[in-house]
Amino acid sequence: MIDISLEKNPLMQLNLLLWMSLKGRESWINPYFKNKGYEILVIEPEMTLPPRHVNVLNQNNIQFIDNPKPEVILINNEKKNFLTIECKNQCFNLDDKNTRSTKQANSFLVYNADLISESFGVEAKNFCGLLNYNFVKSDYLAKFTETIIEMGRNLGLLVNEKTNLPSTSYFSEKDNNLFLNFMDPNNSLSDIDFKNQVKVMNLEKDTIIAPLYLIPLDSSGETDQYGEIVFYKRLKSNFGVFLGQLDYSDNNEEIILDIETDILENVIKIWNTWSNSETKRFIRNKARNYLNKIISILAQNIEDFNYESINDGYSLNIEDKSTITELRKEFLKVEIKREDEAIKKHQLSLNLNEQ
Amino acid sequence: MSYYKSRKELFSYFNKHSAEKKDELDRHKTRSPLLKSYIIETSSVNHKKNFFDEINNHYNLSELKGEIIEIDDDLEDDKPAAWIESYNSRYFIFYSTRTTEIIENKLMKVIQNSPLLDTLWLADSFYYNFYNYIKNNFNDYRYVKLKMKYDSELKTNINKNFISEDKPKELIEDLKNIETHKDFNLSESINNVNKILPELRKMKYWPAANSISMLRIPAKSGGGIDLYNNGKITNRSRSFIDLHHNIKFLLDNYSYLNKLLEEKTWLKQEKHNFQSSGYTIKGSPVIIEFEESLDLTVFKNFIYKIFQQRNKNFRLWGEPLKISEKKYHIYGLDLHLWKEVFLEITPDLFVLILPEGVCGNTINRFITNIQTFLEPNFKVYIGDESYDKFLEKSFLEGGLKS
Repeated sequence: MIDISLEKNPLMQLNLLLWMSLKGRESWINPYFKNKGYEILVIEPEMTLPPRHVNVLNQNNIQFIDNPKPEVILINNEKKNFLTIECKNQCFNLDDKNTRSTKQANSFLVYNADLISESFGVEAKNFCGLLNYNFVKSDYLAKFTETIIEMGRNLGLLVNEKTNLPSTSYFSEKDNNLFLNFMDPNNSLSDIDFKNQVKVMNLEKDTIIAPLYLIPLDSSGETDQYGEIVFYKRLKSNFGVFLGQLDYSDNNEEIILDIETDILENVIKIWNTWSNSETKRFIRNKARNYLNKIISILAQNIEDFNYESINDGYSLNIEDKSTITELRKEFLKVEIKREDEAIKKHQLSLNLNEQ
Repeated sequence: MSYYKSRKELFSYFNKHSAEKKDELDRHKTRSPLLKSYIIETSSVNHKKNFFDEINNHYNLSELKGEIIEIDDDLEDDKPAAWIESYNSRYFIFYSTRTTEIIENKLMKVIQNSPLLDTLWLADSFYYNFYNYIKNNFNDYRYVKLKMKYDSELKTNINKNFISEDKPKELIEDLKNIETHKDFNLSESINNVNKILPELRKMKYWPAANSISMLRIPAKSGGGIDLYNNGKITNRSRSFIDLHHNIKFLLDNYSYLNKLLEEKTWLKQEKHNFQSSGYTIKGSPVIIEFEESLDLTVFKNFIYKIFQQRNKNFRLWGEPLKISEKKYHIYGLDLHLWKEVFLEITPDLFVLILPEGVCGNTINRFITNIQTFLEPNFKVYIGDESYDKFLEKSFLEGGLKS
């Protein structure tokens, strides 16, 4: 069984929140945000603070982060608001002004509706900005919520404009169901009308809470045990996608499988815009090790098929049409024993935190 | 050298052939095969050239005046194997006057083994909408024929390893009571079918009642046109024009349906226009809600047949990830076009996620096969909208699109 739980898992929070923001049915995952009129505006955006705000914050000795990156921003055109959601494992102490989390909270608070609409080119006059901190534990939440409301109020006076209205929420398990709970002690969000407790989905006994992952790795390359398995499964599928698209007329040319453009860009849509080259190299190597296994099994089983490892991936030597048919047929049978074993023993190591 | 020189000559042959066969049908003495057609789908991207390259691997091609491709394979001497008309760059119509066994066996193998090709997949609800169109446009005294078909292969052919521990004996007894193959023909006037069909469809305990797999469309020239759920169409009418009109009507609706399905379901991850980082996701899951939960043994057997034994009708590949006893995730491939698909399956719900580029036909194929081989009593939703709404829209707007 894959070991994954609510305890420590912002990636799962993000995937759940995305399904809750797309059209769907309550019988599967409650499309709560969609039904309330929200749509996904942008996932994992970098929100660069403008010079005026930087200046005011610096002058007042308030520590902040230049370009904070929330999990997702939702937009509601009907109710005229943006909902910025930041997922955290657990509640943190906002009293210490020097922690990264407190600095980040300052930035999220001042990045109001006007700045969001400007940054993303959305026509959004008189929109209101909401900020939601999503946790997986409810400990200390009341204090956190009160403190962040207070922080927002003070920052508003300093920058002399509206700041985002903060709220908090957390996931919880009860009676074989997963719930999302909202906290709003001052009733400041009454107009958005979020219920205190929303049923998200059914949880069978002994189940893994993971929904289908649209995003197996977050934009810093981090993942969890389930996301890691999804990553490998999708590497394999995308090797299949590559084989399915091989064109007969290409026979005489050299066929190149480029690990980045043919595989990784499909699994990680934002591969191109990632700037962390260390992380990218690490992931590329993991992908290559895995693909090596698939391609070497194919070469063993198909007489007329050879390949050569090159810098970007593989150069395939395909003699004729029938080799392509053969490759497709054999691919469907390839079993990576080590992968299955590793899943059982939790040995797939893509945990970048422990890099 | 082609057998016929032009489209005009070919259509004239089809017309003469149809009239002759109708006379023979009326006398209950058919001497040679009826005219039949098969519709083949490629992909939403223009693949006309690749399509003919693929066909060329299995047949000899020659072109007639008027954009008809004649195909032959040296199997019979007198007439070519078939002729192909392009509906557009995505759908192609094969016409043949050969015996079904000869033309169909080979053609179906070619389709199943090609990543580019697929047949049509007409689900029960597609037929129901088609029947409603007939009801509204023909006189009540005309006859229609409906064939209901249910094959409990996935329910009864259970691998012994999957017999559940709780009540294996009772289960085996239950399974014995399920007949493996059921079909039923209803041949009646529209007037009577209007009364019978809604009653019949209330019989949820009898799976065939909600699994239409063939419809005989009345033809204006007399006789009818048999439309099968894999897109095969046999002409039993007096005229080829009737067949041709009905194929066009079917494709107008079907292609419009697929376009609508693709617009709604495709899960697109797009980079945001304004920032170097950040992206957005659009699209909807396809959710199949069963009216009653599947038996756990049947459920496990389904996964085994589809993914371990790779049942060829479903054309899916993937390695199921066990999330719990009753929940599996699959990040796999649709083997028509070899594109990624994601699935979550439980005894109550099947969820299908189609990333951009997957053919909307995947949905039609999945539903049609579940209805025929597993369980026909379910509702399908694209996001929050019912699949039936999409069909109604297709039948309202599809025929008017051109």
